[in-house]
Amino acid sequence: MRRALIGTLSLALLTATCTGDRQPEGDSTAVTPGYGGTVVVAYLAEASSMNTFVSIDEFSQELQSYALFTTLLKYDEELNPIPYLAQRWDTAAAGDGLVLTFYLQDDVTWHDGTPTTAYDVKFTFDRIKDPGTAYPRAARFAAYDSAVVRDSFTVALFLKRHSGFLESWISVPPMPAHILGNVPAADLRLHPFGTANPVGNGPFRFVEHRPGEHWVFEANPGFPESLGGRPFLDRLVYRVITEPTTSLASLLNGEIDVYISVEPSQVTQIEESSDTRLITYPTRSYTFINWNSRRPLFRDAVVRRALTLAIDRQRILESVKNGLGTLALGSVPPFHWAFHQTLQPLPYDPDSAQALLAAAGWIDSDGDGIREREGVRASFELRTNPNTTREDILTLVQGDLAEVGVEVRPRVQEAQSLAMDITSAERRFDAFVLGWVTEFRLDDRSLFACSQIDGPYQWASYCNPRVDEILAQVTSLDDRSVTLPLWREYQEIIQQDQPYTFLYYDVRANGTRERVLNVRMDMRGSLTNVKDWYIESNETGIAPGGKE
Amino acid sequence: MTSYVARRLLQAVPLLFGVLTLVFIFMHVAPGDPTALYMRPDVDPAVLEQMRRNWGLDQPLYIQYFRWIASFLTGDFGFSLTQNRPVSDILLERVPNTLILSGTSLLLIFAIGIAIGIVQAVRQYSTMDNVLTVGALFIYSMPSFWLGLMLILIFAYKVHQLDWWPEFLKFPASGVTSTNYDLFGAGQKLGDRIRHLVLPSIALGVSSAASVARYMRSSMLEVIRQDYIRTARAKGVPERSVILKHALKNALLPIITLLGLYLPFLFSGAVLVEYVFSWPGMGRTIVDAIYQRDYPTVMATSFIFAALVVVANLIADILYALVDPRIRYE
Repeated sequence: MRRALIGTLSLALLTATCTGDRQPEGDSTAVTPGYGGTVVVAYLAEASSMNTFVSIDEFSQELQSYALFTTLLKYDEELNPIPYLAQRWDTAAAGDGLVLTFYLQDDVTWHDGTPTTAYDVKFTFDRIKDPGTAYPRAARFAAYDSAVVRDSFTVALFLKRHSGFLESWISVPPMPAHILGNVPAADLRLHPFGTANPVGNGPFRFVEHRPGEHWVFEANPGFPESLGGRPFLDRLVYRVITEPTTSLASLLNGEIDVYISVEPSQVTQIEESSDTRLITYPTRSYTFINWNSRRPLFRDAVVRRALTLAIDRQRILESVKNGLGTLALGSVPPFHWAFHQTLQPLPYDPDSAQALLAAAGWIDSDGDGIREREGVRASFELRTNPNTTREDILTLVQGDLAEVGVEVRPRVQEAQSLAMDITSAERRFDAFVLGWVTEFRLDDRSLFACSQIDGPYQWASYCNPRVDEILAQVTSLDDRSVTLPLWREYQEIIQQDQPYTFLYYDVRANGTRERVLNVRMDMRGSLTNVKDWYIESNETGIAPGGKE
Repeated sequence: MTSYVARRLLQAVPLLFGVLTLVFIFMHVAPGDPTALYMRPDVDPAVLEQMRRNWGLDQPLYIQYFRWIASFLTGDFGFSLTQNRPVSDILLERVPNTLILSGTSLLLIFAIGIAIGIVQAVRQYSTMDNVLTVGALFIYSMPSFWLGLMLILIFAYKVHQLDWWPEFLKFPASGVTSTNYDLFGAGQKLGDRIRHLVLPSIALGVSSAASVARYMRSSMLEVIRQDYIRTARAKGVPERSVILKHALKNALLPIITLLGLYLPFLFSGAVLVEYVFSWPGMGRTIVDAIYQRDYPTVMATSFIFAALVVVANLIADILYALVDPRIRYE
């Protein structure tokens, strides 16, 4: 059935190209998946590299995982690991550790024709473990020890059991050993494989990369049927468009099909246009205010809680994000299995905030509108990096805290010099607004563990022995039913102690042309099911107006 | 003349070295380094240390400096630390894009500016002169990035929704070529490139054209009052020939100096316009590289910019000698 459709469609494509306008294809109004067409996806940042040893940015990762390569495992919609390149796996105890064996698909080939085998997996693993590679996510494999090839399609890994040990393999596609095998670890980063001629084994193969402009991929006709077969689209183009207004115009005039991460102010225009629709999904990124608890003002958890109560987070969300977000209560994203479903974020309650501040000894005794205690004024510098959303947050927080007698001095600082100040062991700051992107496999130890107090990311200088215990357990145990109560307790403690004032989780909005169908975007990413996307079958892959 | 050019080029050498040394110092004094891209809680700080070692950033500053100078003198610009490829590849790709954009704008600036200036001078104080003066001032006051956004809004979006609007006046909003460029024939390719060039070069050039028009008008007015113009008219030379032959050549002299001044101005303007139109040129490259502390890329792009400015000034001086026989370089 599918094959029959290709004929019809390519014919339609041919006619359309010749006459240069849209031809209705018979009277068929029913929409059936058909092959063909180009989809252009645009985002404001470049996908830096298709070399998984190097890249860490979001869309390098997505293009690698969902288009160019196949990962051993992927997530289902509930974030459970499911087979992909590995058709199954098993585990066995070995000494005090674990042997994890992956049984690979035997019909996946690299786009140059070489089969993908267990040797590729071992090669990738060995390079990840080699410190010379400087693999950014090496920490994910810290509890992994070694890999052994059992046969061409079976590979065994030795590791210590820890939470989400399978999840280490999601978003790490094996790299081709026959191409990169002889490259010294330290030279992998600069190898042209990453930017000029990557060879993948996924549903799409590489066509062209013009850095800063676009990546072009085309359907891989040899992608195994057992993994879903050839993608419907002929071509997938990833374009870099830096200016949001330009992206919007390009989406509305049909130059691009998917505009990733629409500005909150552009949402209405996309919803109102009959050619486009908006797809939203929750992300793993949250925005927060970090309090430096080495400062007298922020030392007391009661004060930090009072500050949170005094800040109208709902209004911040409405005004800076047009409501595209969810109020946050901790670092666990709302869609995550570990999320505390019954806990509510602290309310906006300036009266309680005033009472708490007074109870903690912060009183305005000289009548200048600012509270003091023991000669210290409740006045601090709140910083952020240049980013309009965050700059607006500074202003709103300044207004809210002035109401409760706390003075905020906003300061916008260049990103890298701000990073220097906050990661320095002396913690040269009072408070700042920034955002984090969490991993699916949560690990907050570098943010809140006592042992990390001088580490680069323990910005709150927060230390609570119970939190340490919980974080140690939830990262070492692998049974979700055991760790869930611990995760819940953790979120309750963090709510109580407020090392951060958690503001909101981002909801991402992507503008999509109506002609692109079967698009699923969720917390796993914007391109999660890109190989199942197809163009409305009476369309032709030529954008209206014949601009392509 | 040749010795003059040689002397000027020789003089440029210490200048360029000074620029490079200053850029090197400023870049390394600025807080942070290229590993900042990888600063996340799930990235082990030891990995960042390893990256610094792999990139030689753990060496003392003066060693890094001499290493860079040494490899630069052998024509090796090194590797971009954020784009993971040779800097020379980046330059080969981006320099032509910026030159095409600035070159087109420059043509536009002088063609439009000179034409309007002449018309205004010849019809001084007429309604046309006043309208053009106000118009030129209006355009001159528009920032290029804002003008760019307005052009996109109108010519890359609004007119696409009008059925009666001619197809060839609907422009793309961004990029150098269309997505299916590699599938086009030769003629179609050229057309596609030109269509992509129209809006950005207007955005970049039009305000300078307005100022060239102002200069041209006053320069032309000054020349028309000269005795030899009156003589030419008295001899019965047709007005058209008086203006375009006798007056124009002399009125152009001060304009040519502007050429040398406008090129650096265009390069800096290109930074904003390239951003708005997603034009993959040098401007965007250098700004991104500075934010990400991609030292080798910043060094190489600043060198190219500095060299282009030196060359542009030299060209302006040479042109000056060519059009004005009174000026001789020994």
